[in-house]
Amino acid sequence: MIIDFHVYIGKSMVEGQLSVEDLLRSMEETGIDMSVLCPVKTLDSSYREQNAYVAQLQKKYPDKFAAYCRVDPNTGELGLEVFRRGMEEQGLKGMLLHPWEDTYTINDQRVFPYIELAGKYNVPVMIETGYPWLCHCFQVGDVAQRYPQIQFIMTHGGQVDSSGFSQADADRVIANCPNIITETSGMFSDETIESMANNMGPYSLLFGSHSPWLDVRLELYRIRRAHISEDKKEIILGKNAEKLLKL
Amino acid sequence: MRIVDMHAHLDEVAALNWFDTGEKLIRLMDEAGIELAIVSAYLNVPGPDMDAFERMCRCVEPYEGRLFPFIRMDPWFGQEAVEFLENAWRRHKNLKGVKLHPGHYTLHPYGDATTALINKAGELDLPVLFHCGDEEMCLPLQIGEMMKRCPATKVILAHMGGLAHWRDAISVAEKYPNIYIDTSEIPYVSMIRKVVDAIGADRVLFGTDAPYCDPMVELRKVQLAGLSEEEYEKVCSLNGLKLLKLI
Repeated sequence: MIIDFHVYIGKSMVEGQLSVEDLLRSMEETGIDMSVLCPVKTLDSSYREQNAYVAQLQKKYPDKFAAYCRVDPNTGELGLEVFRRGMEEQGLKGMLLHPWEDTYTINDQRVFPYIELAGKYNVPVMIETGYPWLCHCFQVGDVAQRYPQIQFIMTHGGQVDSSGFSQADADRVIANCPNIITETSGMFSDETIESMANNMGPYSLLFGSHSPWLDVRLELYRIRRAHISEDKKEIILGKNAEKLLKL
Repeated sequence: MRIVDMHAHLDEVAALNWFDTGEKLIRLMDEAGIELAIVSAYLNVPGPDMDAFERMCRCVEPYEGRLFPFIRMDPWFGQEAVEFLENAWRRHKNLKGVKLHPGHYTLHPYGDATTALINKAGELDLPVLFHCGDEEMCLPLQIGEMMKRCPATKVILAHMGGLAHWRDAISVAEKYPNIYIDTSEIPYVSMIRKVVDAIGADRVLFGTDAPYCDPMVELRKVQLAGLSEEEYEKVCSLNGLKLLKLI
């Protein structure tokens, strides 16, 4: 089973869009069995509308889609209420935080009540990682170390720095934080995918595409062509996701 | 088709935990069907290790005809750097260009020291590859400012300008006919099509940033971009061969 853990669905105000029809077609073409839907950014800063949208898709296609609840800690108590509703009424599977698009520092105090609430519902927190100033992997690691009982998903291999200088930071954070699983979309260092899978074990990596901004065909190829065993690829491509989604 | 990788690396730097040998690079090139690659080191000359470039040239020797050096330099050294380049050019007939990473040596591209070095490279008919990706002192518009003073040098913007600066890379390339753009590292498939549509296929160069990035994945990225056969051949082969004066 192949699960893409990182797909934005709908029309984002940040120049990107993916329709349900296009996603289903793409899943069929690439052999992806299930996608984890992430709400896109719109003028509704509470994310109520987009969370309702992904919840509805999850309900309509329970075998194809699971959905995460996106919240913006800048909205304070409102966002907490949106998340409670996502958990208790909409059946969403985890919390999505995007500090870059929503403009907050991931290890700022205002974020902590959100993390604690995710802990209360015992669901993972996926953090868009690697963007400068707001969610450098060390800042994500800081949060993960404050809440060792919570499972975090760190996207993009923890870094999007094209110099490669942040790779050492990401390696350090991953080593320091056993409660972080690293999502693979756009991981510049394919060598790191291989070394992590072989040295830390395949349970440290989670396949995701970051569609529609990144190309799912290339992101899948990144894993498929890695010099690691087929068993490890199966774990990265699906088994880890099944566990996180409690399938 | 003779596939040319215009952006690879070869160096062993314990302080960065980067150990990239010629043997490792050639193995990856063979796997991807890449005939020849431009390599640069991770350390600048002049600099703390004055042997860095010569050491890389010794590593390139066993792979004559497949690996060609760009000299990675530090313009902080002023006239000494300019003379260093000229001496290296006299000694190494296979020297094909210069690599600069302004974020590494911390100088604005448009300052006197850098422009003097760039103009010397132009005088020697050596192209200059700039690290160009979302970082201070490495932004396309900063390099564009430099181009006002360097009309006779061919300059390559690496990484299509970076995740957030590809539009700027295009606008600089539109303004200056001596600007080229390389495809290395950045994971956006669709960006390649946008760059080719904007500036044509003649100034877009295939690059990998190997061994940090996997040449198989980098090549797949270009193959997925929807280029015509003619455009693909220019990007992956002909443009590089022409720039290196190998055809």
